[in-house]
Amino acid sequence: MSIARRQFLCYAGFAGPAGFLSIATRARAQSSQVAAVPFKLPLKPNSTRFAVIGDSGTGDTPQFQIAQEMERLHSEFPFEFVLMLGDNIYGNNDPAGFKQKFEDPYQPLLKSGIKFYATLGNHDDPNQRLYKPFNMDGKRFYNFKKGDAHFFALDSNYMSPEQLSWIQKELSGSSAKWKICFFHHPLYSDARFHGPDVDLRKQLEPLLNQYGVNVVLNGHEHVYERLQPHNGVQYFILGSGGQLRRGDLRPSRDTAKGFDTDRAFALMEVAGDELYFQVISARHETVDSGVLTKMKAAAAGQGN
Amino acid sequence: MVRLRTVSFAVLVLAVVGLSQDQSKKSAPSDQFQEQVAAYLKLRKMVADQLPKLKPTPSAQELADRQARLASSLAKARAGVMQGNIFTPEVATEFRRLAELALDGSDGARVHKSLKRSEPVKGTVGVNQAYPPAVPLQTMPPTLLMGLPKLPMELEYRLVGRTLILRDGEANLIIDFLPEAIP
Repeated sequence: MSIARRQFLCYAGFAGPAGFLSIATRARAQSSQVAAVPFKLPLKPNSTRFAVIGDSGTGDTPQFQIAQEMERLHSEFPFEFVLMLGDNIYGNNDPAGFKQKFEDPYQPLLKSGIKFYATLGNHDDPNQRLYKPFNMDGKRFYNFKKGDAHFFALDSNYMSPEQLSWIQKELSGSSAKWKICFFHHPLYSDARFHGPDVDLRKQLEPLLNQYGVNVVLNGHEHVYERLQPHNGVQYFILGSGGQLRRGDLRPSRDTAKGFDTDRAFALMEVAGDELYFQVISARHETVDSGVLTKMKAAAAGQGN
Repeated sequence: MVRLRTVSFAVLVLAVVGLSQDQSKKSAPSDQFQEQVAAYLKLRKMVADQLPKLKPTPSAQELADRQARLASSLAKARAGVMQGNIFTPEVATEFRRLAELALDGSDGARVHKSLKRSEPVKGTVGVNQAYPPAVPLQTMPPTLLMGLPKLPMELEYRLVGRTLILRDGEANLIIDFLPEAIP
């Protein structure tokens, strides 16, 4: 069976305590081709809609291009907030940096009342937690709920025992339909420059698996990659919201979809048992899209 | 009046530093470390209490100003403090032992791999100096953090090459450092 063929099957066999995930996508695996026709997110009533950017804070033209594309699509897909996956401000984290690398590029979105929820990357001064537009409430790790989704922002740059205890407590206490973690360093990655953070994976992944996390969003690698689910958890890397490491991806059997020839960001919509996603490049192209479906445990073995 | 308050504050600072150094002579390395950290926190509180309280703000300028004022006041209050003020020889030996333990055996290969992939940074550091603002903070492997003594939220461990740094996060100030901490 080819890897490309396998993309069209349900991954119903990946078990997680909170249910099972299946995935149907319109993307071909390991292809750098992009779809010209935008995939329409369903815009279901009362759904939770958000955008995701990572490694964005360069202040350079490509960051502005991505920001403009986000603004353009906001009129079609009115997302309520943006998740930032770290490296929000490269270089000096001084007032000029905040202006040039955050306030200016996203000014139209900020003026529209779009909230940004940041997580810290290795280039970020942890005092960013005190910068109100990042909505971190003064904390390096925090969580918030929106509709059917519960979001957990972690500081993967400093995963202390206290933080591990906190995430365990918060995840175990959450009964949300969707548990979505976002942090900077990927636990799985096929990018060449860094590769996965194996020590972070060793300490954190058991908690993600045990407490039914459904989706993990990471940056750090300056590419887009959607990985094959691991123990029912769907991992995305979206580290090209400003930076780009062209040609850095070395797709493996673990790569469900990769894109490393342009910058990209994601739009996501959580509606009941489904999470829709669409990844868009700076050139207005749909890089990847699909829907993750939570399946009841009883039905999970079917269709595998 | 202002001069008198400044003098009183300086006396208090010296008393706190002196007391902690005196105590450190009597206790085990791990206790010594915690005592020195507690002494630093006491001093820090005295300094921070003289500044406006930092709350989340939409102003990046306000954040920068507060960081600079806190760092400057702390550095002034700790003027003359040298490397080894917290990582005393006994504490240093203990930390090197703990780091070696964390990086030993089957865990060690994994932690070393993480360290190599964490955008290692190089450079020289100094007590009472700012961590270079444009230099990324090297990611700390969780296994290593688990092996080191717990810190209060005001402080954190960081690495620059093989040097372990004790950093005041809010002030972005290096409180002390331990060369060749990592095997």
